[in-house]
Amino acid sequence: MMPEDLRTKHKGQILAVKDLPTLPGVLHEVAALFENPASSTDQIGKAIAKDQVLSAKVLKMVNSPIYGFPGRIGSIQHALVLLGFNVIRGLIISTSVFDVMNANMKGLWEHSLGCAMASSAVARSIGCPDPELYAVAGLLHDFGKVVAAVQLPESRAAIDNLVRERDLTYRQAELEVLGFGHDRVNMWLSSYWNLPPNLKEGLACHHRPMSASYYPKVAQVVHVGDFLARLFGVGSGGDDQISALDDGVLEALQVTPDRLHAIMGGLEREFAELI
Amino acid sequence: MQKIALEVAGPEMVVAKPVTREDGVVLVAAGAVLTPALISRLDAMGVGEVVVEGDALDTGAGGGAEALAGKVEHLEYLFRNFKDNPYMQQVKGVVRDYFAQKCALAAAVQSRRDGDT
Repeated sequence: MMPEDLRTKHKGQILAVKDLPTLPGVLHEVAALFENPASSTDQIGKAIAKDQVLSAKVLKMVNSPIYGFPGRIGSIQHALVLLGFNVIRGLIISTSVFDVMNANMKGLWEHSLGCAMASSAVARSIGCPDPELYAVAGLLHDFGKVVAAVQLPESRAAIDNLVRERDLTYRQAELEVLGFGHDRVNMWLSSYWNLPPNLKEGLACHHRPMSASYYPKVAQVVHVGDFLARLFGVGSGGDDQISALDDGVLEALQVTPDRLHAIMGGLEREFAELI
Repeated sequence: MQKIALEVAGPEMVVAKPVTREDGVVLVAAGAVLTPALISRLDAMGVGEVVVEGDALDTGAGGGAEALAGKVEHLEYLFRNFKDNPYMQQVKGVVRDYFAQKCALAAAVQSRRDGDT
C-alpha cells in the first residue's frame, strides 16, 4: 500500500497543470462567456477564433471522419451551433493536451482517435441522440495518462518498465507506481476544467462503467470504445492487451452479438480509411 | 442459417428470412430460391445482404481458414490475461465469430472471382 502523503504529493504535482505550456488561455475566457447567459454563440466563436492555431485545429477535428458531417464546416460559429459548446470545449482541451501527447506517448493520439470513432459508432448503433458527445468522451478518455506522464516524468519510466516486465496493463502499473490510475486523474482534471458532469463521469468511470451513478451510458460506451480501438490495434494505449470489459456491459447497452458484428464491420471500414 | 453478402449469394440458395426494403416492404419471401435474375434485381435495388438456409459459406475450412488462424492467434494474445474471466471469454467468442464470417466471406469472394476469370 502506498503511503497516503506520497499519493497526495503526486496529486498535487499533477494538478499543477496550469504549468502545461499548451493549455490555451482562451479556454478560460470562453468558459466564462458560456457561464453568462447573455453571451451569444457569435461572441464565443469570436473568442475562440482569436487564437488562429487553435481554431484551425478545432475545425480540422470537426471536419474529421469522427463526426461525419457531409459538408465542410468552415467557421467556429457554425461548429458551435452544430456540435454544442460542451463538445467544442472538449475539442479545445483535446487539441491542446494532445500536442503534448504526440511528443510524449507514441500511439496514444491514434488510440484516442480510434476510441472516439468507436464510441461514436456504438452510440449511433444503440440510438443515442448525441453521438458527438460520446466521441469527445472517447477522445479525452486517456488524457489523464498524458498529464500524469508530463507532470511526473520519473514515474512514467517506472510505469513503462512495469508494463514490460510484468505484463501489466498501463492502469495496473499506474496503480502500483502512483497509487491511482489515469481515470482518477481524469476526474480531478475534469473538475479543474469544469467539464460538464456527463463528460466528467464518462472520463472518470471508463474503466468501471457499471459503477457510474449518474450518466452510466457515457462511461459504458467509452468503455466499449476503448475495447474496440484496442481490438483493431488502432494506435496504442500504453500496453498491448485488450481492455477488460465490465461484466454485463454489452447487455446493459443492448449490444447483442449481431449488433456488435455490425459495429465492428462499420469500424473496420472507417479505420481502414484512417490509415 | 447464415447472413451473407449479396456478392457471394448464388443460384439455388434458399432465402431463410424475408428480404425487405428499407421501408419494410418485403421484396423476397422466406423460402424463395435465388436465381441469377433475382440476385441482379436485388443488387439493383441496393440490397447488400441476404439470410440463406444452411451453411452457404464454410466458416471452418477453405481459403479463409488460414487468414482466420492468424486472427485467432492475435486474439489469444490480446486476451492473454483474461483466461479465467468468463465474461471476457464469452466476448472473445463473439469477436472470433465476426472474424470467422469475414474470412469465409473474403475466401468465397476470391474463389468466385477466380472462377469468373
